[in-house]
Amino acid sequence: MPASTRPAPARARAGPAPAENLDVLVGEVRTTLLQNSHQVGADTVARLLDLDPGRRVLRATRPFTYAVSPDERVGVHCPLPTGSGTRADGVGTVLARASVTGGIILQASARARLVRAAGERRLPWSHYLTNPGTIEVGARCGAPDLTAGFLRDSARSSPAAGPAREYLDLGAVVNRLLNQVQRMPYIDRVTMLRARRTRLRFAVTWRSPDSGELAESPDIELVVHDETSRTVRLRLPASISDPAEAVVACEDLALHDWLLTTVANLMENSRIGVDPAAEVVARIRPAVDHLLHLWMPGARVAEDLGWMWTALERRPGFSRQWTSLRGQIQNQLLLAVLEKPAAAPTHGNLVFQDGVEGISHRA
Amino acid sequence: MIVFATSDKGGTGRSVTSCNVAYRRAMQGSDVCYLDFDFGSPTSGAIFGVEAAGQGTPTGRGLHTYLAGGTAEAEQFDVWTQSTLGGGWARPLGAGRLTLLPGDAGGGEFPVNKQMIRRCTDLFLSLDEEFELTLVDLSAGRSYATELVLRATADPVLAAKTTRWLVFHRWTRQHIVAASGLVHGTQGILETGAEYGHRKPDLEDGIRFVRTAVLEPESPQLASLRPEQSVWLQSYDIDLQRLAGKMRLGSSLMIGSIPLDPVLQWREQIIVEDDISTTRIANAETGQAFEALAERLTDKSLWEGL
Repeated sequence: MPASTRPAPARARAGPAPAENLDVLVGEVRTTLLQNSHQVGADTVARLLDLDPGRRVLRATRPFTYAVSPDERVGVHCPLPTGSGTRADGVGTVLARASVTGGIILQASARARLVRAAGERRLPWSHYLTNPGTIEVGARCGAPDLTAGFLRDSARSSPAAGPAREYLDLGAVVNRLLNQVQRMPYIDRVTMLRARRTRLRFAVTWRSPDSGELAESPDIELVVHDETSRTVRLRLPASISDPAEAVVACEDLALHDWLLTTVANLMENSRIGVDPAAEVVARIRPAVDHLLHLWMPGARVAEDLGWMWTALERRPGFSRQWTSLRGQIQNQLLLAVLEKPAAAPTHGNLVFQDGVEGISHRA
Repeated sequence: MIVFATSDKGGTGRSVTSCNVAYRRAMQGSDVCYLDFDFGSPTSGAIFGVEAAGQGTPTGRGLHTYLAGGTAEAEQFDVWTQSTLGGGWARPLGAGRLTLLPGDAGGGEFPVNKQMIRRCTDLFLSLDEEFELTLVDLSAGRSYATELVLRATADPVLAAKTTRWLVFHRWTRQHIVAASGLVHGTQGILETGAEYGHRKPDLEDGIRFVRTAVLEPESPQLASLRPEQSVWLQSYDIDLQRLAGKMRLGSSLMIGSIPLDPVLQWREQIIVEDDISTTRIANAETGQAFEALAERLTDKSLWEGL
C-alpha cells in the first residue's frame, strides 16, 4: 500500500495536539484451507487469484510457493467503532487481497489507514480514490479510541452485542473474497481436512519521533479471544514507516496461528491414547501430508520487523508449541508401527493405508 | 455432507427429530451444524435450549436476514456452551462441535432471487469447510425454503458435496399420501428439482423417509389394549405398509422410525442420557432410534441407488 502523501495527517507536525494527529493502520486477515482434494500447482493458484484481469498476480517460490492477488479497492462510508462510543464517520477506500501459501492455505486480508479528514464536508469520490487504502475520519477522536473500538469489535459474536449496526466491517470484505476464491472452477471442492476459518484483526500505530526514549522500542500484543478470533496491536517506531510490511507481517502471523490452531485441534480430537494408534494416525494424516512442512515463521517478514517473531517466540512461544505437536505426531506414527498386529505385513506404508481404510468405514 | 429435513405437513416432529439427530451425531464425534430454514417458525433454539435464540434470534443476524442480504455473516451459537438444558452440557470427551444457526425472530417466508441463491451456496460451502455434517431444517411443504435449497444445490459449485434428504411423516394414511406427494407429486421435490437442473434419478437416490410418532403393534405401550383393538391395529398397520409400498415410501426407502414418546408430545426437547437412565422420563427406544438415524446418515449401504 502506498504511504499517504496528503498533507493533512502529517505526523511530523510539531506541537502537543494529540487530537490533531491520526495515523492508524487497521486490518483483518482470515485464514482457511483451500477447498481442494490435494495441493494445487502454482499455475492454478495464479488463476484462482486472478481476480482483476487488468493486473497481475504476484508469485514467489522460495521458501515456499506463495501467490497474492492484486489489491481490490472497496469504497466505504460508514461509522467506525470507537472504544468510548464517540461517533466517528469514515469515508475512503479499503484495500483487500487474497493469497495462497503452499498451494493449500488460503488467506484474505483487508486493511485501511485511518487519517484525519481535512475538512468537515464529504468530498467527491475522485478525491478518496487518489489515496487508495485510506479512510478519512471526520470526528476528533484519537488513535487509542479508534484502535480500542476496532479491536474490541471483534468480540461482537457474543449474543449480547445487540442488532448489527453498519460499522466498518473488514470481516465482510475478507469473507467475500474467500468465498469468491473457494467457488472458482479450478478447484474440486473436495475437503481434505475440516478446519475452521480463523480471523486476526490488527491495529498498527506509530510512535511519534519526538516522544523520547520509548520511540525506538517496538511493541506487539497478541490476544487469543476464543478458538478462532485473535487481535494484534502493534506499536512501531516512526522509522519503520512502510505499512505494507506491517500487513505482510500480520498475514504471516495469522498463517502460523492458523497452522497451530488447526493441528492442535486435530490432535485434540483424534482420541490419542483411547483408540489404537493406527486409527489416530489416520485422523492426523492430513496434517502430516499437507501442513507440517509449511511452518516457517517470519520467512516473509521484512528485516526491520524481525523482532516481532522474536517477541512471539519468547511469549507465547509459537514454535515451542509447534515442536511439541510435531513430537506428539511422530510418537503416534511410531506407536502405529509398533502396535501393528504381527499377522499383517509389517511394511510401514501398509500400516498407514490400513488405518485410513479402517476410518473410512467408521466415518 | 449436507442433509435437508423436510415434511409435507407440520406437526410431524421433523424439527425435534432433526435436532436430536444433530445432537447424537455430534456425540458420536462429528462436527455438526444445524441450520434453521424454517423461516416462519424458527423454534430450534428452544429445542436445543439456546435461550438467546429461543424463537429465532432477535439480533437481526439470523439466517433469514443473511439470505436476504441484511448481514454479511449469519449468527452462530455453540450449543455445548449456550444451552441451558439440563443445567448446561459441557462438551463431552470425544464429541464434535454442535453449532446452531438460528432463523430470525419474526421472520417469514420470502420469494427466492438469484442473490439469495448465491448467498445460500456460499453459506453451504463455507460451513462445509469446517463441519462434517450440515443439517438444514426446512419449512414444511412446498416452501420457498425448499425451492431455495433445490436451486442452490443445483449450482455446480456444490457438485462435489453429498446432499441427502430426509422426508418426515407420521404413520397415518394421510401423512403417507402427503409425504409421497411432496416427493413425487406435482411441484414436488423431484419435479421442482428437475426444473432447476437436477437429474431426477440422482435426486431420488438421495431421498429417504423417516417415520415419526410410530406405535409399533408389539410395543409394551399397547399391552393394555383390548384384544379387538389389538387385532384391528395389527391389520391396519399391514394396510398402511401396503399403502406405503405403493406410494413409493416402503421399508426399503425408510431410514428411520421414531417411536411415539410421551415426553416429546408434551415438550420438544433434546433427549439426553439422563432423561432415559436417571429421571427416566424418556424411553430408551427413542434414544436408540435417534442414535441409529444419526449413524445411518452416512451409512453408504443404506443410500445406494435402488
